[in-house]
Amino acid sequence: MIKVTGLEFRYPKTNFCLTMPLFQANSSQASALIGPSGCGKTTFLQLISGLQTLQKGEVHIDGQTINLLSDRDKRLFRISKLGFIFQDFGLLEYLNVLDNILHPYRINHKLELTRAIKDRAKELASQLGLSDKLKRYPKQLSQGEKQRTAIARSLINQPKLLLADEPTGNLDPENKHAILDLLLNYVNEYQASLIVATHDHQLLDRFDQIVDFRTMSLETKEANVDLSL
Amino acid sequence: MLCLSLALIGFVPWFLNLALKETQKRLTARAETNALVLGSTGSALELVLNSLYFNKEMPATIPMQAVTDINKSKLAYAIPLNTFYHAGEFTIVGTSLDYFAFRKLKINQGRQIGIIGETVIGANVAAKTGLSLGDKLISSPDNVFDISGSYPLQLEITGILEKTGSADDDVVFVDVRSTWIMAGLGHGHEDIASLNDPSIIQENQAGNLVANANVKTYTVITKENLASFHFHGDESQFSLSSALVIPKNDRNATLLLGRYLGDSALQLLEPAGIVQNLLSTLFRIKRVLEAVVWIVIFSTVLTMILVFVLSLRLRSKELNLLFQLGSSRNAIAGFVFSEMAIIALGSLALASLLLILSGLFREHLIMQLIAK
Repeated sequence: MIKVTGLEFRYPKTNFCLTMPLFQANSSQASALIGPSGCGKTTFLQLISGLQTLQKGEVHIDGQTINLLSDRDKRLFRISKLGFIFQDFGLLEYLNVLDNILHPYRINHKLELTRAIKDRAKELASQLGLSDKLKRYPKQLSQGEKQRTAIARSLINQPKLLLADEPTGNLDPENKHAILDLLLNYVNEYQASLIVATHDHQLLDRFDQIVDFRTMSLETKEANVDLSL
Repeated sequence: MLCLSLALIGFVPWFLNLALKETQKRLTARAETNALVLGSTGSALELVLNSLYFNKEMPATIPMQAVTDINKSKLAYAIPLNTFYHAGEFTIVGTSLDYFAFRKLKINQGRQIGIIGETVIGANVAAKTGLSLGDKLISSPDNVFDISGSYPLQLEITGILEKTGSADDDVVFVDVRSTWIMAGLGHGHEDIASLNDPSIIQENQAGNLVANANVKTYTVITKENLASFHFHGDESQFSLSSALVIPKNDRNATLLLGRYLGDSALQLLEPAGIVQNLLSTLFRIKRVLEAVVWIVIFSTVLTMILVFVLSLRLRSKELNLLFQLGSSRNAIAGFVFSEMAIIALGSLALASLLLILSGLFREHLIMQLIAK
């Protein structure tokens, strides 16, 4: 479903260099990216989503070569095929829960906001335990509720790839597992892929594969692979 | 709050401009007639404002003789004005029927003043007080301790004028002799001779009876007691606040103006010139105000730019989120621009609303400013 080959990226005027000879994740598979801060986990997610332009290599997702797409097509790809989840939730304070969930449909004409989509947003909110909080604003929600709202927003367009950057970083242990359960359930149900950048090693046994950016090694449930050049 | 502050910035100069234009229109419309103003020497501006707009600043008095002299000259006719008295907040204007003809005032309800003690009120007076035909209006005494001074006189409303949008709407018109009764120069009382009551006789000088304070004086003029009203003293010396002088032609106006040039007690003025001087002062003030307003607008715009830039910085995370989710930079710029446009349009709508609302009382405000 997603395949990255020969990736090389540098930020201008810095010593930072990210290299990834091979990364592959299939449908219904959850991958964790681990490593210390500044090692390139977030950058890797940005390269996959087309927010950064790689200098070498290729990123293939669902039959499309992302690095060859135009800016416009990258945006269309992001809005239609990707779901983003952030550590700080990325909710808009002036929108209520329902409007936050529907927000992707209001910022790009590619997605058409229909009655069916609104119903789906309510159904998602119900599945995530937010049905009685649709009219509430982010400041009226708990941390767990905010992250569930952010997840509902990331799932509204039924993405084939979910990218999460420290999705459990601001949550208590109980909520961490609950949130991960929600994401893994979606991945299994919709045959999507999940890539999570995390520092939380307690959750790693829930993932199908783990990429350690410190050693550039890939650990799957079956084997350990050295990814370094 | 942002919309309101922007709206006020837009509204104030807009309102000032409109108010000044309207003030100019009203001031010049009434001043640019062929009427001259005759009054006591002193402040020409106060005299003109009192005579044309019934401004509450009172000029010194002139005698009725001044009006008679003008009429005798055959160069013009004069309309007496006495604005010294009030009925509540409204100025009582004692004048003659010529005033109504000169100002082309029409009776909307009722009839014209027939006798002393009757009044015709302006449209705004009727609207504000709710008084109608046949109702009574009492003149305010000048000073409650001045028992020999002005008398409260009950006036019967016989007519209500059509609205003119001028100072005439806000005054109470009476015959000039009614104001002299208020001044205590004339009165009506019981017929001393027919009463044959010794308690009211102070002195009997060979059949010429002088009453004491026990005699009943009338505070209401009716058809029945009208004949008992009389004036004491020389009517030609009774006071007026001013007179409007209507010359028959420009030549007569020039001649009359020349006659009063050297007069130490009286002055004859061309109101248009006086009002023009006032307007020039007003417009000088307006120019200063405009300069101040422009500086305020300029500093507001700079502040708005600062607020806007700071808000963009504060919202950079939000805007970046939109980009990450799949919105184009142009679309994001469009959102931001739309917000600015909504604020601008909201402010404009609010400023327009304020202007419309202010229009409801602008006329009243201007008339009050002129009258004061």
